[in-house]
Amino acid sequence: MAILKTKNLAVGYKYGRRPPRVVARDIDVSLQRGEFVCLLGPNGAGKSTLIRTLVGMQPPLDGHVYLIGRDIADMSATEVAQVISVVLTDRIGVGIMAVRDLVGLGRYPHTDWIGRFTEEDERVVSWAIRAARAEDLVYRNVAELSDGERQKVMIARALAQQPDLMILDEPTAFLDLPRRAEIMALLQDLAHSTGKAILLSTHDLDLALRCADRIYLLPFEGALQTGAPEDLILNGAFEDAFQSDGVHFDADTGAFKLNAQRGHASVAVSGEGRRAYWTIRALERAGFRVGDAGAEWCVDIREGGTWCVEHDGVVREYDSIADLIAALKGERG
Amino acid sequence: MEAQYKDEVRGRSRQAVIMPGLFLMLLIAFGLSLSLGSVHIPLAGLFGILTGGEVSSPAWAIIVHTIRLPKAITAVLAGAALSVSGLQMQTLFRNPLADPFVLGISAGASLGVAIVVLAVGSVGSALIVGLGFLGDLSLAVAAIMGAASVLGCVLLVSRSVQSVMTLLILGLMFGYVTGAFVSVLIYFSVPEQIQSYILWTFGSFGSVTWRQMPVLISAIFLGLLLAFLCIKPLNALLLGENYARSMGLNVKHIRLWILVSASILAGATTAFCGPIAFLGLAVPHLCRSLLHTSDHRVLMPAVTCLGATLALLSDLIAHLPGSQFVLPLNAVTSLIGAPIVIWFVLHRKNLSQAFS
Repeated sequence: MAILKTKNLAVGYKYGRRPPRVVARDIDVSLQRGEFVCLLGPNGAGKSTLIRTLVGMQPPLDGHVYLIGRDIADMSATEVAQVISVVLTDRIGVGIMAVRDLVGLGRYPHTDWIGRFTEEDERVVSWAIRAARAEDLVYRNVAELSDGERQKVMIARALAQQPDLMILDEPTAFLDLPRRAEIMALLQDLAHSTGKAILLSTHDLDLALRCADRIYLLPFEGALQTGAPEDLILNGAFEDAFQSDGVHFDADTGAFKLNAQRGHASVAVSGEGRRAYWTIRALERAGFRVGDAGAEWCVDIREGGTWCVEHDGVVREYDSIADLIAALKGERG
Repeated sequence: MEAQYKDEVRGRSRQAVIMPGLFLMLLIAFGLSLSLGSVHIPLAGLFGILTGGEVSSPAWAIIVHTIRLPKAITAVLAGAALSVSGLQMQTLFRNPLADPFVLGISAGASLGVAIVVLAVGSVGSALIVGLGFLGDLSLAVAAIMGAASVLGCVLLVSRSVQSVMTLLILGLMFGYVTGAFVSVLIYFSVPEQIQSYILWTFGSFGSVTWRQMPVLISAIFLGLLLAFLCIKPLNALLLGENYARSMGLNVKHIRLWILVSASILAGATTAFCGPIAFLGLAVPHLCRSLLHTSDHRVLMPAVTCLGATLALLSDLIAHLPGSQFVLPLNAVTSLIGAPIVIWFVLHRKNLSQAFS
């Protein structure tokens, strides 16, 4: 049975007597055990609203959310807490608390009235800390952690709750690239090794495409699409979802490209390998169009590590990409 | 070695020493407040009086029974109540400056007292004369009515308010409005009436009689019981309301219980002792810093003990042992308390961590 299932779900906000503002509608998804799913979409498409609705923090405007077959609206907070745990973007001002005690708060739905720990609770907390690879943080004070460390600790706390489903709202925001990759790999591994379903929202397209078993793509004012990352690239769903003036999604590379400004000179590049790749990137960054047909300039990448430019029969040689770009810009005027 | 370090970080070893220490200090302070005052009663005599044994001087027995014992019990109850209430408010509002009175409870009590002393007094001046025998009871009743009506407003509003920040602002506004009423009343009153009102605002543990004691004791025990039952939810609330909800906490429910408990504690204390400043704000901070934790399972008993101790000591200092002088209680709590908190803030960095 699907752990999470939605039926005709519409999410958004109600303001008193005014008509409700629907952010996204007709959402029908189902999430299976062991699945690692990324929710992607441009800003304002309603990712956070959808997440808040799925975890029961705000009521749906229409439709239903089912947890293991039961409507979430009919479940108590404790019952929901035993199925879902979350990592939110909320600032946590926990005060003076060791990491282990913070992770221990995840046992909340399982402990007695004053929160006393059994051996089982201690064991689960230790496991959660190991699983989130936060062993070296255990006896640090929460207030002293970096953003990346804190995110790991919050993941450990969510694990200690022993849910069937973990939902994370932008867990990789504010982290540097290695930390982001680390967190994503960690979550993917957790989903596959523990059989928990994990759903997270992110703006990290590249990592999501590489890690996710399935993508939920929420375009601005469009219908939610689901599928394997590669299918969504090939059927053009990504290009449509992330359409904008400045950039476009390039289905060949799976990355965003800045749209070339019109009216700029075109350059042809001859050469291969890494040096050619970065030369093209540099030229695009500087606003040139890179192509073969009717190029004004022709850049030739030499073996010795220099760049030669031929223009109107004159050949000049440059030692670095910076010099090359400066010269081309100078000629362009 | 490593285990020792771990316990140190989690504050466990420190707590094992400090918790019994706090309790011992409470006992000592209680003894001192019975023994010291304008008349000094030695410990041996005190023991005889309390155990009902041989009494060396009947005057001492009267002093202890009618004045010092009710006063000390009141101080213990009030100190514990205000401090626990302050701890609850600081956690609920996630604000280091929150105290038992942020929701306007004391302002409500002040209005009740002001109405009795100022408004009613100006209609029938007999009441001022009557303050002698009817006074303390009618003041307490008025304060309870005032505190309860503000509490009622706050609880009513809290059911329909989403964010605690809104609640905090509403509480402040309640405070301003009631304060304005009091100002108007004072403006139209004669100096004698104003003086009896001002005297009430100074705060005192000495006005609770044995007849009133059961009311005070049961109100504060009820408040403390509720507060101790909320320990686990309070720990969850350290992560914020959204996380608390995600862990299975019925936030609206718990918020109501915390408010009821904190308001009973603050309201009962203010009604019987006047608006006592500072303890409710400072004691939770001191305990967090001393015990190096925000865990309410540790803080709640610690705050109870330390609050009671500091209330006893403040009263002791206010009575300037060996002299006939009595200082206003509120002046003492703030004069002694503020430097202590300033020292802690400047020398112990964990205090500022607590809410970062």
